[in-house]
Amino acid sequence: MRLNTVLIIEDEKPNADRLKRLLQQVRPHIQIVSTQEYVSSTVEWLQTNQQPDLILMDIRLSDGLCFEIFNQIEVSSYIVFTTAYDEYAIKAFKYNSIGYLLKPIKQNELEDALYKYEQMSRGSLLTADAIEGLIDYLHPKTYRKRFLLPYRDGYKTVLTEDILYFSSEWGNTKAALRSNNFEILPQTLEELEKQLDPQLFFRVNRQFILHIDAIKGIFKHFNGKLKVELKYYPTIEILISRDKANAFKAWLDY
Amino acid sequence: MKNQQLGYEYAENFSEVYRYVLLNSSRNTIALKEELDFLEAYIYMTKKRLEEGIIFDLDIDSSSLKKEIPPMTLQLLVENAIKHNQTSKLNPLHISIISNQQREIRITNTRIPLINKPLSSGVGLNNIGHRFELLGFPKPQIEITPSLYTVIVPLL
Repeated sequence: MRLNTVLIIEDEKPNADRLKRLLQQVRPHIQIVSTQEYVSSTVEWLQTNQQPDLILMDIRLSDGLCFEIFNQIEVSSYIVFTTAYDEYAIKAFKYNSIGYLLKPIKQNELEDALYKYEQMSRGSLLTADAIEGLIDYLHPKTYRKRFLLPYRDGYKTVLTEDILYFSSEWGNTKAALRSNNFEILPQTLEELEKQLDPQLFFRVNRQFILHIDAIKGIFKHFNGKLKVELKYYPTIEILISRDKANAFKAWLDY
Repeated sequence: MKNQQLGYEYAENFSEVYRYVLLNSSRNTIALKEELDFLEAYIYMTKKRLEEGIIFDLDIDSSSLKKEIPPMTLQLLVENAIKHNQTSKLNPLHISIISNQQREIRITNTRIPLINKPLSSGVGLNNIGHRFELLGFPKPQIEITPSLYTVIVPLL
């Protein structure tokens, strides 16, 4: 890839000046689009400007560590980290990093890092999203099939397919079974949400996760809310907020 | 070349710092006067790096200058303050180094913790405490308020 634009993130002016000078020596055509010295100003800059081809990024900035930038904004540029410390090398690996230069930066090391960028073909470095997608594809996510629960002086298992809904009551998580029995589970609804097959289970509100087969009837309620009635448990009334209602209907319509 | 003068000054201060560390790091104590000369060379370099991001305030009573202190105690406390706090030009880090009537030096810095702060090992501060203990002197005390961090170092 041709290297056209570089952003320098460096909080110490003498270092920034030196870096600019070195860049101009090894690649006179490169455009240094900006120099930023704070985490906060970098985030702002990246939000309002086109992201550059490459970022030369100091790790310790005036207001914090540069890794915070990645927490606040999606960075698509490739990164060469520049630092006086070697303790962050492993952490730097996580980002779109193609180099880690220790200060004082030597001209030939900088040139090697730029050369590495130029030798890459577009997309030869996989983004984190792409890697995650690939992993999902190779290992389809498996969902929880059963629960192991303490029972008398031993254990028993309850199959997820036998559960009609999960509810949270007074801080306990309850599973309601087709057999009209209840079980108390150690998991929270938040944990269960991640473990259950989203085709079969839906978190309708703060209190309930419903199995798709548990639903008997759906009624329009005030203010765009929906009211759901359940099979087997006619006394329970479940309200779904207007915000959630569309997602709920989409879930039932596929 | 631009800034040639700055280059000379920086090199002089750097060599002063380096010489002090080489000559004195194995000593138990050193006169406060000498520690302060060394500290000033260190402060010079720090200011060149951080520019308006840091402000120092030194006020040492001349009667304290002959007292002793383990070498590099003050410098390490200044380095710690810089390590853990923001040094932004809009909200600079203030560090004051002031002697009092109780034969102590108070090193106080404003607390503006870094975003995404690295974990601290506490090695530097523990090291200072141990050195005072080994010499048979009371350990420096630490005072923390929401806005200030102070280490009170006894003079020996």
